Amino acid sequence: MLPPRFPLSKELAVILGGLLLLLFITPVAGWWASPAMHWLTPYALWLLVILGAVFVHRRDDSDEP
Amino acid sequence: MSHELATLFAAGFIYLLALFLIAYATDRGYLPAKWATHPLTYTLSVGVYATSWTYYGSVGYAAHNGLLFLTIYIGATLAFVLSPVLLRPILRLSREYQLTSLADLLAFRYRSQGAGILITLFMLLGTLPYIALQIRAVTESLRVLSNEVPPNTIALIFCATLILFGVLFGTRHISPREKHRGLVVAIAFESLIKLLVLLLIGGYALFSVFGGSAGLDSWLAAHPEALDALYRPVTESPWGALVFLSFAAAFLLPRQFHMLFAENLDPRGLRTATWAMPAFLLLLNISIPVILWAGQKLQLGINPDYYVLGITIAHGPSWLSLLAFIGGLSAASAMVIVTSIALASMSLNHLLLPASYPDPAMNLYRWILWGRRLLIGLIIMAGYGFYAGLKHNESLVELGLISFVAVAQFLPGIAGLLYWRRATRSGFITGLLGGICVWSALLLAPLLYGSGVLITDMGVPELVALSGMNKWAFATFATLTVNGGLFVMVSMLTRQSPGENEAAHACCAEAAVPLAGVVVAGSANEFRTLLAGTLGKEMADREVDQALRDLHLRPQERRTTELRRLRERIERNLSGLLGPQLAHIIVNRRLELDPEAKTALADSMRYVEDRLETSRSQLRGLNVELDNLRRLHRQILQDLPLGVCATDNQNKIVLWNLALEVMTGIEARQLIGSSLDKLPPPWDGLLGGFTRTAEDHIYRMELAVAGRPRWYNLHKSAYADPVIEGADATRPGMVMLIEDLTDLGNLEAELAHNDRLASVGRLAAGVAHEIGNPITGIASLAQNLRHEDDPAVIGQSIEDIIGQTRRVSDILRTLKGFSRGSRHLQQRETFALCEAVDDAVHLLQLTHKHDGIRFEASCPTDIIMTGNRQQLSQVLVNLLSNAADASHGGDRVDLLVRADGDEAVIEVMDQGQGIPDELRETIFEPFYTTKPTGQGTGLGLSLAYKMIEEHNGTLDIDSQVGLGTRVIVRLPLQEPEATYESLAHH
Repeated sequence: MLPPRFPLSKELAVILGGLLLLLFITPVAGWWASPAMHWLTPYALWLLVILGAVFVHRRDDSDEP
Repeated sequence: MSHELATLFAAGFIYLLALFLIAYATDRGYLPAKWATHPLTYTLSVGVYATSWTYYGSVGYAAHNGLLFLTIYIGATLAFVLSPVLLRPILRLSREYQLTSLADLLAFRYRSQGAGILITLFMLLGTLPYIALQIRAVTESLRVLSNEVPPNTIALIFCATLILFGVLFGTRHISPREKHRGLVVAIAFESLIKLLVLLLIGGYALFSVFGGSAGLDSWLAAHPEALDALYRPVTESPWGALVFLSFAAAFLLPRQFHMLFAENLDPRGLRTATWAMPAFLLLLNISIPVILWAGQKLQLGINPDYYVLGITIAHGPSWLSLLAFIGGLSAASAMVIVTSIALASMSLNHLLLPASYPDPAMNLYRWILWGRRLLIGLIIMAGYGFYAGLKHNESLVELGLISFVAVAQFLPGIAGLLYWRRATRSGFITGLLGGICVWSALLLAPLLYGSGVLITDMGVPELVALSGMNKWAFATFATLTVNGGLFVMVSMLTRQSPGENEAAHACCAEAAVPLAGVVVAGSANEFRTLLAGTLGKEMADREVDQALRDLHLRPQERRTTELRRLRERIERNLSGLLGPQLAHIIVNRRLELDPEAKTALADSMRYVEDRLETSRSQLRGLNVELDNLRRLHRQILQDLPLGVCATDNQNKIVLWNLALEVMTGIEARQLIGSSLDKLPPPWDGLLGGFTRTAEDHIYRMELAVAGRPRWYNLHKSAYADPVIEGADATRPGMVMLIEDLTDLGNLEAELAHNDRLASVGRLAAGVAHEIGNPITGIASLAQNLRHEDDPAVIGQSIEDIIGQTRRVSDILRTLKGFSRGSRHLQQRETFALCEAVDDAVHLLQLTHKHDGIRFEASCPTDIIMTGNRQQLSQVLVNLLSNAADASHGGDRVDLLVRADGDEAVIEVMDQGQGIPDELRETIFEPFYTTKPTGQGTGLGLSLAYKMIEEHNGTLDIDSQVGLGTRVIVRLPLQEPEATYESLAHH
């Protein structure tokens, strides 16, 4: 059984995600780092990054290291 | 509420005892094995990243730098999210080459013992403050909880307990193939404890201090400066440097590398850790702001680093403060234990062994084990020395960040390892030395100055102030700019050694370079003898045996390819024990390679196939399609119902398919890579001999297999070696097809036998008539004898009866001879051809079906031939019968035999209606007949053709419609035996 094909390679998705994070983290930080936002907002954003990681790796059924 | 020191000591002692028990129970198998291998256990064990810095220091860092404390965990989150391109390749390398530390990994890639020594020394230098930090956190927590200054003895006892734990559970096995399950579970337990305790204290602060989330919101509304202090540093301070540092530390710190890669029980755990580790860090940090604000609300008046304890003392039950202490103890102890084990392994491989390699007469395993244990003790005690000898003006986070900047110096080397094959050893060492120098000047010197060791701070604070950057950002930027710049520049200017180049390819998953060279030693036993000179006999024997088991090879192994693999495996196994560079040196010196020997195609193919099999999911796009095509072609060859054997230009077997496995009973894995001449008999003679003959095809080669004759068709064809270039490529490889005819021959014999029986059936009426006449005569003669007295007449009658009886016997003998079953068409004899001719004509004459046809046979008696007489009789019967069937009453069927050189020519001619041109080809097809239904099987001519072919003869038809047909059979008089000797002269 061949492994499932990714429409976008996993590595590329991860690298793109990392780049987007680097590019947008400063403006995003400028948005949430405001006393007007709830103090849990950065944690919610952090959780979103984790969920993104789960999404990207969800079909990674490779058993190789 | 404070605690007695003794109470705290007892609580700490009980906790550490519980840790011992957990590790012991896991190692002994009292806990389910799946707990140790569970991905969440692995993730929690990697949670050793969170030390007392996280547990205590995060609150203090948040108090001064707001949400910047999160950068230390966001960087780590990024490292785990990027695990497919960052952590997974390192895990693959560390498992495949048994690399137990970062020093091993980089020394392996850059093939440099010097690099290993430099990395180890720098790691020790950069990590000792970190160990000191943990000891300090424990003693400070005791001071905070007891309001007493704990004696140094407590710190010493703490260190001694951790040494004992490290020795008992971190060095049970010396080979990296055997993981320390007890250690993994114990460290995971410690992570769980610190997470739960921190959540508990956060929850306690929220509900007890603030009265719930509404209370917290009210307090925050009333104290907007608290939120402002949390957010302002994020917008004002450059926090990218901290994210970057923690990104590097997440997998480069010795303890992280050890738990992530060296103690990884199941590679799949990393997949879970990709998201579970960031989730763990998130949960761990979610309480920090609440604890900070609770401390501020309660106005604890202590260092914010210890608010975690302060809240519980000021506002909570005593059990909670004890738990808080245990949480801190678990964070500190886990870090010290794992770091000391990791540094001990590094120091042993890169400092101790190269400096004082033991006498081979000693038990090297024991030496390594005790060396590692001794080093664990020394490292922890050095950390204690650092703690005791230096003044600690810096906060917990300051000390930790010094270590983070230190390990970040390995990032350029790691980038070169994973993604830049051109990187050289000189570039790496130069860059690292540059980075270390700048790190020492910018961070270590001020630390030592602050502790009174140095008398000057070297003007660093002024320099940092001049840059306008944050201290950590400046140190990170300066060290990595110098390090990375030198690394790239020197790598561009220098060349890689062949060893470096080989290692660079090995580090790249996509590269598939076969093992080059041939080992001079000719057997596994020679390996033992040669290695014993350096490793000692016991270790040499055990390592060779282990490598043989790993590769599923026999101790008698002599195949050059397998010996090359064995050498590689021994080097990898030794690498786990002695470090990659020392293992490389030992194996290179003891198990020399023949530099002149070329890599055979068999080795290349197998290596590439192995790599493709293990890295299947790493292929992308066209590579996947090409790999699918490769698999398809291989499967076709494997499943081909003919035996296929291919050899390379060194006569080594490259391919041995399933049909050939079944045919010979020899598995491909035992043969691939070995010489064709090394095949067991009789296959060595059959295939080895075939490759040497000039003939490309051999038909019906007889071979005795397990004492029984079998027959094979062999075909071969040369192909150019696609891998080897230059002159050697002109020595082609060979592909051979082997077709087992034995079963087919049996079927054909059966068919021929049935055809004969059918002929007998058709002849039966004539035979009965022929036998009936003499029997009637015998009966009459016998009746007359009853009344005869004349001896002369009686004698004549008896003679007549005997004559008639002989006639009957002749008929029966002919019939019996014709119909006798033969299991094998290949049974041959030497006989006069006219005997077969007479038999055939006699049989035909027995039947009255062809009464009107005259059979005229002419055959010289001196034509002697070798072949299957019975088959030839059947051929002639079939031909004569066909001729008679095509003839009209009164026609003549001639059978002429003559010798023509070394051939016998048999012509069967009739005066029948002839064969139309369009039927010339089809009449040889089985079951094709022009006769009415029930009068012919359609097998006669096709069988005759087949039998003549088996005698290496030819059968031609010359026919004209309306005039008749002439069938011309040419047979070699002395049929050659199918042997290679005869073929050579054929």
